[in-house]
Amino acid sequence: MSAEPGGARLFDLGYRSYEGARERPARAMATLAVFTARRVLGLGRGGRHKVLPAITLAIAYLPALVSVAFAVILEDLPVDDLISYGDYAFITGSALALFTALIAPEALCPDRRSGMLGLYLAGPLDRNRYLAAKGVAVFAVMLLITAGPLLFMFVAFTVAGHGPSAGESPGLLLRILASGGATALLYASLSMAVASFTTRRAAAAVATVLLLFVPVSVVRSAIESAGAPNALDLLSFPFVVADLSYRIFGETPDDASPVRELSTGLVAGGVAAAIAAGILVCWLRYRRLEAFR
Amino acid sequence: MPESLIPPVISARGVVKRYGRTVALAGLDADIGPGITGLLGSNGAGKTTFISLALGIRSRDGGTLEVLGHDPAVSGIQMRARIGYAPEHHDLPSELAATDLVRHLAEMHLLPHRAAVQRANDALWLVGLGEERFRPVGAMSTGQRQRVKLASAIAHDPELVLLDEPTDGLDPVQRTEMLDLIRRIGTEFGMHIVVSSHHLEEVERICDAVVIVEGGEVVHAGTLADVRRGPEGLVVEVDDRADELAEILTERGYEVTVDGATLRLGAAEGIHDAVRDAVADLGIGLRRLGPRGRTLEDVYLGAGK
Amino acid sequence: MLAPVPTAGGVPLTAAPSEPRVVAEGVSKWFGALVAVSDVSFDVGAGVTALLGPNGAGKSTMLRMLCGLARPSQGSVRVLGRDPRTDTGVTRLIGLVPQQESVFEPLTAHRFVALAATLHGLPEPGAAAARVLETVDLDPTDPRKLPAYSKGMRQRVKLAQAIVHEPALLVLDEPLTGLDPRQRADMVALFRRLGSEGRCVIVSSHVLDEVERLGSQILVMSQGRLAAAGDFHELRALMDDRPLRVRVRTDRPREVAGALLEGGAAVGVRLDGDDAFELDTNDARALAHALAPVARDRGARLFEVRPLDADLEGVFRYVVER
Repeated sequence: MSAEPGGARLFDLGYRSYEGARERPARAMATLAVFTARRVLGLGRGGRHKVLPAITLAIAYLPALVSVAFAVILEDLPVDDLISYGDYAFITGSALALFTALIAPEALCPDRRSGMLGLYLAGPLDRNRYLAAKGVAVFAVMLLITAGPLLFMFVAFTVAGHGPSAGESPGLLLRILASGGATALLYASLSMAVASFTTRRAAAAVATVLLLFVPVSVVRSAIESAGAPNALDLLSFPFVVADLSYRIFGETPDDASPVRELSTGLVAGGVAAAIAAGILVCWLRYRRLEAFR
Repeated sequence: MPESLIPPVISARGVVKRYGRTVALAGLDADIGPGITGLLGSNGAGKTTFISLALGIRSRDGGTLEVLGHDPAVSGIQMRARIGYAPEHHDLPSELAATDLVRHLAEMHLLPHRAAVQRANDALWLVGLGEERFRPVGAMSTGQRQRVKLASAIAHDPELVLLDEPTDGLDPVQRTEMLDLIRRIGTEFGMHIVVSSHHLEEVERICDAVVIVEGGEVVHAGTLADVRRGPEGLVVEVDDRADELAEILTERGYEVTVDGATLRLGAAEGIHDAVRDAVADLGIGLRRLGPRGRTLEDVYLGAGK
Repeated sequence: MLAPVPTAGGVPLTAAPSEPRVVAEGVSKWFGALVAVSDVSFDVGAGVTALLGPNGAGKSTMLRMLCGLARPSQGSVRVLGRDPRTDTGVTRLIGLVPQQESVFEPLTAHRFVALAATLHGLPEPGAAAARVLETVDLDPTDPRKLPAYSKGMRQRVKLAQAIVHEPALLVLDEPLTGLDPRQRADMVALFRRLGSEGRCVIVSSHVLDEVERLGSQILVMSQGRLAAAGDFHELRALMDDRPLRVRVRTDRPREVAGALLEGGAAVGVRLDGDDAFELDTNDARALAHALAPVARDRGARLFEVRPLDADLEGVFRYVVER
């Protein structure tokens, strides 16, 4: 403010009430989702919180980068020698599962440990909205790992001239999203369900890893020695996820997992059921939770 | 608008809450009006339960409840956007800087981003944490955390602020500062405040009205002005021989109770001169003399079970 | 009620009430580079003494050393002449009611207290437990288990358990938290009674309004050091860079004020309307003794005598902020 002669002013530094516009309640969910996604990826936090996300992203995107590099450099390389979309899911499977074990615990556990959940619920949120926002955040971050690299490959190949024809593109795009989306949804719901049982991130992470990997060995023995139904293979989640991706892309893997034997309907149904179960468990746990001490 | 025509901020009729077979609230009736109200009661009396019902975080088992014109069980989401809350416990996310925490919660209360940044800053300065606002909350002392909680409760300029035991863990000087701050916020900033506490003197110091809760029911509700109205007795503090003084006055027909070096006398004719003369005769020192209206403690002890 | 003749550890407390029961001499405690307590010396006799201080002043550490739970890095602590840390006999003389909510077993109150009595080697633990539960106004025959008790009742059980062996030294950390005014009044009366029986009761608290009811002996710690000790009225008198300001309401302000000034009890007066005046004094005691006689001689009625800033909070602030 320019002071005119004799126009000195004293400004009141007291409290200013807020008369401006306020957002609508749904905005709180968006704020929470973005906040959670950023925290999980280590953004806005110290350097050491970015390490694991960075490593995982590197592992996830490396094959895509390498493939694209090869395709660009060696122009006449047969495309078949590069990684197929179906193979990709399988390759990045381990990195994916480990990252899964970290995201949901990071998204859910600290809030219950630190009293933040109570503070959130004392705002324009309820438990359902809270979970929905968290779910969206976890899902979105997972999508970054599952569909992200494939999309990158797709775009890079297309630009480099190795991509599919214009007619096939929408279909391929859809498959990428379907496969990435289904995988992300499955891992998100299972890991959130596990994380809803404990406030300790490390415990939740270990439990998630166990949930994803232990059935793989146990189920096989149960089926072969004890004659349990083959459908039990649907509990070997990493295999299920890989197999689903192969089916979506209409490819046949060289080393087929036992899941290959099951019908597509069963596999799709199994995945859907697991997703639903995870969401239900998580929802039930949060309904009963004491937000207050 | 005359005070009696201003609608209460929180209105409860017959509110019931059970946890299993325990009845936490057994038909609570209260009108918590504009201004600063103290929710007073010992631990386990039902204060925190009532607050969780008023916020709509828990559902009630009976009765009606209206907060800022909303039924928390029905339109709790819109209602909570206009309320600020500081819980009793001191747990806060330890690695977040104070300013990030306050800003995030302001945004979660539907303030646009820029406004949230600005107001978080202002709120932290207001509560005296201006210089420390970039420190992680985990590195803060209890006193500082209490102030961070207060800042988060007011940053989004709510209409109603609920504070649960805001002086818990604070030393005497910090208590006074916190109480003064709360009083300021309630009187100057146009926010209604409910302070839940078991500290009777603190409630008496800063509140305009009080609701006393015991055993899940309201045992007394009213303004502090009403509490203090009433026949004025006398309080006398001497430096020696208080019991003898009490005896002399009792013999003269006055009603006296002794509490250490302090005597409390019921209102009566000629009491001032009687005290003066007895003190002079005994040759003891008169430290304090004054009218004694009813205090909250009298109400509490008279009304309680 | 407790045994008719106050005893501590079975030994009758015949020592004169004014003899110190707890003596700290040059006590310091550090944890690595952190100095929690620095060169603190005091003695505490029978009666109730309040330990005050800002957070982080070293009070909890000091209390732990008094009970023998921690060893001073330097200096000594003696309870009834004995070292609470090394002399196992003396732990029978100490009772501690810590601040934290203890984990309560599913026992009845009587069982719980009797257990403590047994651990202290009392000859008749059941009877002792019953007696002490009645002292704290709880029913020894109550069949309910502790988790069913309210916080106020559990607080009283904690206290019962700490006094069942009739300790000479009772240390209480924020004992009135969460109690309603009636329970609080009862507890305060109990502490005062224990103090007048010859026991040494040390109460640590932040709530000055409650502390004021316990009596006027205080110890103030600040920044690990002892900032003040003694009767708080006397401490106020020692605050000599701050004359005590007192407001007096009377029907003859001019006469009374004038007389006090003349007599030297006040060093300055300011009339305030027709019915009051404020005065400054450097001698609180002389003023207190002069007020009633002067008023009587002048035929003046005294309606109010109010010291400004002489309450416990005023003293506390002054001591801690120096």
